[in-house]
Amino acid sequence: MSVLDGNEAVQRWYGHTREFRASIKHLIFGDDRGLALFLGSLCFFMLYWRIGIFITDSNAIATTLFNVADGHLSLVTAPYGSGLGAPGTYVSDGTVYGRNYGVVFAALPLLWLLEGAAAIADVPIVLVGLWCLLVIAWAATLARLFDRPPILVGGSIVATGVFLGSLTLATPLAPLARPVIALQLLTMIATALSGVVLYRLLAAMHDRRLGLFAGTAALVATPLGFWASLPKRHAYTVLFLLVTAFALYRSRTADSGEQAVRYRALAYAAVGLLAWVHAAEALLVFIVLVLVDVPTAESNDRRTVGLVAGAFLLSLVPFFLTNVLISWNPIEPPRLLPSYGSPSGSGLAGGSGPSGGFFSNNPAGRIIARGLSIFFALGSNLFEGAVVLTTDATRVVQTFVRSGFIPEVAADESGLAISLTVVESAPLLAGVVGLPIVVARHVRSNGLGRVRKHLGTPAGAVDAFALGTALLFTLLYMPRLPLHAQVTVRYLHPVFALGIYGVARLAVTQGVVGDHWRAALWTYAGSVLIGGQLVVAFLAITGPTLSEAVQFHALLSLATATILGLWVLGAAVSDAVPRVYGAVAFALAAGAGTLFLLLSGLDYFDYAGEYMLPVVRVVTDAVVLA
Amino acid sequence: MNPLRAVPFVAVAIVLAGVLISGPLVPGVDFTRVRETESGLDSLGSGNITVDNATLPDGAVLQQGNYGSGTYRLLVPDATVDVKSYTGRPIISYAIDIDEIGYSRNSIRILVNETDGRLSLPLEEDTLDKGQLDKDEYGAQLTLLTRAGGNETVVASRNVTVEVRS
Repeated sequence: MSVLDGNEAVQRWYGHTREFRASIKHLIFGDDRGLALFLGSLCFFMLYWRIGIFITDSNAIATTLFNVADGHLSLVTAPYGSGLGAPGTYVSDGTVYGRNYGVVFAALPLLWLLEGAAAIADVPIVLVGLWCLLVIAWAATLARLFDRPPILVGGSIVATGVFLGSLTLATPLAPLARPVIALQLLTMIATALSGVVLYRLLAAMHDRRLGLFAGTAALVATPLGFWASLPKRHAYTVLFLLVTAFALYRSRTADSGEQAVRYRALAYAAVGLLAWVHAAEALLVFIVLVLVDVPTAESNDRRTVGLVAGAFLLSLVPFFLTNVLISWNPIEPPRLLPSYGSPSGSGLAGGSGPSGGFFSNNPAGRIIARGLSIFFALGSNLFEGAVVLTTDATRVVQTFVRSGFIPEVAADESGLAISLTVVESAPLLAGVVGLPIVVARHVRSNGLGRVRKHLGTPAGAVDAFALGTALLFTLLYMPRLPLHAQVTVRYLHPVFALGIYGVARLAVTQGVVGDHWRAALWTYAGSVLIGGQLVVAFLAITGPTLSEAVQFHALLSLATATILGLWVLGAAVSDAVPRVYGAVAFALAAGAGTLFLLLSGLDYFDYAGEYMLPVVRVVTDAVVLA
Repeated sequence: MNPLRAVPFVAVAIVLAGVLISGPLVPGVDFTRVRETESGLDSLGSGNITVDNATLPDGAVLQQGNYGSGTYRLLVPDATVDVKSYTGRPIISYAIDIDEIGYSRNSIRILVNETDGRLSLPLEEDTLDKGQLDKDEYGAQLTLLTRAGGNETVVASRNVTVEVRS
């Protein structure tokens, strides 16, 4: 059988699967652009995928997955890090448990796939092969989109080259790495999907180009990309939050009432699933969702509310079940239990509710008491956050604007100054300075009635949801920020996705993306490819320490953020400010964000593990900057 | 038919074949190897060594870092020593101790297949952070010692001043 005969057989089989593939694509990615964004960002994340543990509490999640795969919820064996003592383990009734069970169960199928693959092949080679197939699939999608078959040929040749090169350089992986790999793969998929959902949301609201700008920018120019292969819960928070926002929008624009209800149910179900990952954050999102959704919904008749509430409760079932099995209380997630190792958690565990009589003796009473204590704790936490936000300017600046050396933070980080602020990690977010101006002008020219009317529109509901969640997340974590082991203020991870949404909602941004996207793309490519080389050369000559390198990026980001912020302010106020300058400002800010992702992933934090792509390891071993 | 159309299929076939070959289905092929194994660690510090004319620098510097990173680089000039003769794999160690802040660091040089003569020993650069430092200068001790055949011999030692520069 010649290659071409086999080729035709494969093509025939491929043709039979067309319908199935089309419906999956439509359901998850929306269209070919969404699919290309998904595949491309996965390939990008895997470039700097380091197999290993970056932050110690990931040990607890890996340990949890290891035990769940073994058939028990509790932690019997703890092969990672400092064992059971790793931060993120909890005690109930003398038994030790992990946390983020939603993530752990979702990673289980991936772990089984890996174990299965390990039976017929070598895992490091399987992973490299996966990357190469993803590159080919990405190239195929791009070739179809642009109607340029050579893209596919080029992509295939690159993938084959990388694969053959990797065969000569690969190193073995211990079987113990597999749970970590499964978690990392899942996190990358969740992050890539976040970009896809953001694309679909803005594509539905405005047009596909703006959607692609937002989806791509969020993935390659904000810390979403930084944490893509580092298995922390924040990636899932962002994904579920964006799914809720998207479903909220679609429920307002659906063709039929039936479809509207289905999307509304999806909005709540996403929150329910988030509870399985991190209950406190889900509670926060739920509060905002109810406040935005109920008053602005087309109808709240008994049937609709029943269906939506049913879907929400159904999505909470895994969360309740896990909690009942662990603590006998369906609303008491592991995070609220006493810590086994070093203290950590969301600070909601300490709330005090009613006690005595009914609240202590009756199981239902205990549940209600716990629920009340959680609400009180959340309320006081948010209040405390509001106090810090309005009275402690130093901490606000150290969280959002300029980090530098902060003694309290560095003391917990071996004296390093490597925790950046929000704008230092994502200079594109400087664009949000345009939002207050837009709102103020709106109010001045049309009065508050216009704002109220806007909130009643589909886009207005999403705007309110985005603003509300961004604000509440900030309030929730403000009492603890600035904090060590954040690198990019990861507690405020949703703020980055919501911030990009906010920037994309600005008319001035839409003008730039619509009319000057070529200039923006060329400047971005130049700043990453040429500017990147200049930065690498400069750092190679000056030989910075890790803190210096990270703070160098902080200043670079602040510089580009200042340019962008000034342009947005100017353009929002006056039409005389040239729009093409905006393209340059956006591109430089995005370029600075991308450079930090690439250099931190490929060089500064290479101690996070062994590079999945052996070719990358060889290159990064040769070039050491910090 | 355009032969270029077959390229992606061939590429996919090569990747899948490579993945399968890496597994137990094809015995005797192993792409993954442990690289850069350090052999002969046991023999470190073995043999004996004779040195002469050791010189130590008369000071060191803590240079403030850039970009507001709050770091200070510890820069210690090289020490020099004449190696008269040696056998086995002896070690020369060059250390700095800043007792006031409980800091110590050393760099070692393993002698193997080296021509005898004058050696320049660097003390690898290190960083301290602002939180550890509150004075303009600190007293420190530099030590040069050899380790061979189970014996540790201090070749030279000197009290110096570490200047904090911004």
